[in-house]
Amino acid sequence: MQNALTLSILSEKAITVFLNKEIGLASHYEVISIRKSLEAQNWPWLIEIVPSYNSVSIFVDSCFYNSHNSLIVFFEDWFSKISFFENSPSLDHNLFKEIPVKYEGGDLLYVSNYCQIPVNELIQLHSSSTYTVAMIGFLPGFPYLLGMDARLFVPRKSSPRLKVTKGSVGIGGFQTGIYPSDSPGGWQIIGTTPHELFDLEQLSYLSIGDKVKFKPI
Amino acid sequence: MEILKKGVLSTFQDLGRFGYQSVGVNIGGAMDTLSLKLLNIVLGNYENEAALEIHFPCPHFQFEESCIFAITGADFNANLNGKLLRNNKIYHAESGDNLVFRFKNKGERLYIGVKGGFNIREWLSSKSTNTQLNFPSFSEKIVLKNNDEVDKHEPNYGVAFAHDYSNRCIRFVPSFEFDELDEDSKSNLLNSEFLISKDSNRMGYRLSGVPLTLVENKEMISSSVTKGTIQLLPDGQLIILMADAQVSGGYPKLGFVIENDISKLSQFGSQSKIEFKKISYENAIEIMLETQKYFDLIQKTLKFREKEN
Repeated sequence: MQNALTLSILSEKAITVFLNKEIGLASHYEVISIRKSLEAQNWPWLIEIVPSYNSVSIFVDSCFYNSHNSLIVFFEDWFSKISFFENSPSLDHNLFKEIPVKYEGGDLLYVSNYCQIPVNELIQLHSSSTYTVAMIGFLPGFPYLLGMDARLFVPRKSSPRLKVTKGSVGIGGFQTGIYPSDSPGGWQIIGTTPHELFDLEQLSYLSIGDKVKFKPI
Repeated sequence: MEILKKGVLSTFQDLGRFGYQSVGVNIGGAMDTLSLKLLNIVLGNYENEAALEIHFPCPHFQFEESCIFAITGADFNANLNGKLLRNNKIYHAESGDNLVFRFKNKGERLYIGVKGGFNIREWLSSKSTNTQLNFPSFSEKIVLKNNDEVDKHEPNYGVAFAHDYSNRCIRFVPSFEFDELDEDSKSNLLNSEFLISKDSNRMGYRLSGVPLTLVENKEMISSSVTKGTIQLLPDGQLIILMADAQVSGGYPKLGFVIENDISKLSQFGSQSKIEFKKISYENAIEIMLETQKYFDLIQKTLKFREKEN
């Protein structure tokens, strides 16, 4: 399994490790295991670990170079020795969260036509899956959700909207997500939620690994 | 300090907000980190003290209390009550003094700092404005942290440091999908000129040049991006991510521009031409460590002179 990893240098002080796997729950759990193993290390130069769908980026302080010469050499060595499947993630720690959605987005009819699925059925499909937060990115608190029914696949808009309003629920390819604040964006908007997803004190309402369900309102 | 005339895109910036990328909060921070570090060395501040990052046309300031201040980065013909100021040097201001910037001589971003720092709001251990949230936001009244006892006889040594604006070469380390560029694209990336387009900002510099293509078009999965990352857009053009880079992106990546040259690049405006030079990761680290040593030396020299005085 170690052979499947690819390390790519991201900057002088960051490196990304790719799993080279399709995105899905299996790669998500592996990403979480890698993060856990890294967090257990207590390296004084470690600044932060940023998980994505099928990769993990490791950000370090420049003092890393006081004791080591190369992030590539250091992590190639470290990943060759560690077996992060030993501590596979326990699912019961993940929170289950329900998010109310008014299915009335500007692209609802477009998606319905594209997928050849009537609107009511589309709403049913989108709100019956249990999603997993695979990563948070793009905007503070923006969740990338895994687990959308493949029948709801819609490509992103060829030309992004200049302003997608806060709370918009959208589909971008095989993934679905929620805009926590007004932003330009290219996802197809199928609904809105009144739920706050980012707060200056509490930060992101959703965390990586959380289970999410949409409740039509 | 009061802002008498508003400028454009003025923000407070320190070295960035670390530790929150996994909740989608980007690092941000000063565009030209070398100039910010130098500013704090000249002022004797903490390395990470926040400064005002301003652009031309600049705000006009009036000091409301006496303080020691300095400017670094761009050359905007700074004047204190009509007297021309130099970069990288400390000055004394009295209440009522006016600080104005007359014209753009060189560079795009100027840093103003005060000894002891500004008294501004911190969020998640950083004073940098997060531009996605516009928080902590910028007001017209700026309070200084430390206005007791200003030593008017503070020695006024300058430091010689300037980006080499004549050298348009931007050094980068190839990584990620670089090897998947077709041969013509590789050669064009390394041998042709790229123009910084007008759609360039704190988030990224869009370049225009010969369109580049990968041998095989790849469906990318979003992963981390950061300041310096070179992304290849679907139309074959490049974007170099700058200080306000998002935490993740889904375009192919060709590598990263080294720290020193990101600082230099941040002083180049739109319509400037740049060229890329490929260097190794090991070489990039050498340059980073040499720069750190050079800054340590400046700091030591200033402290030594202070003692002598």
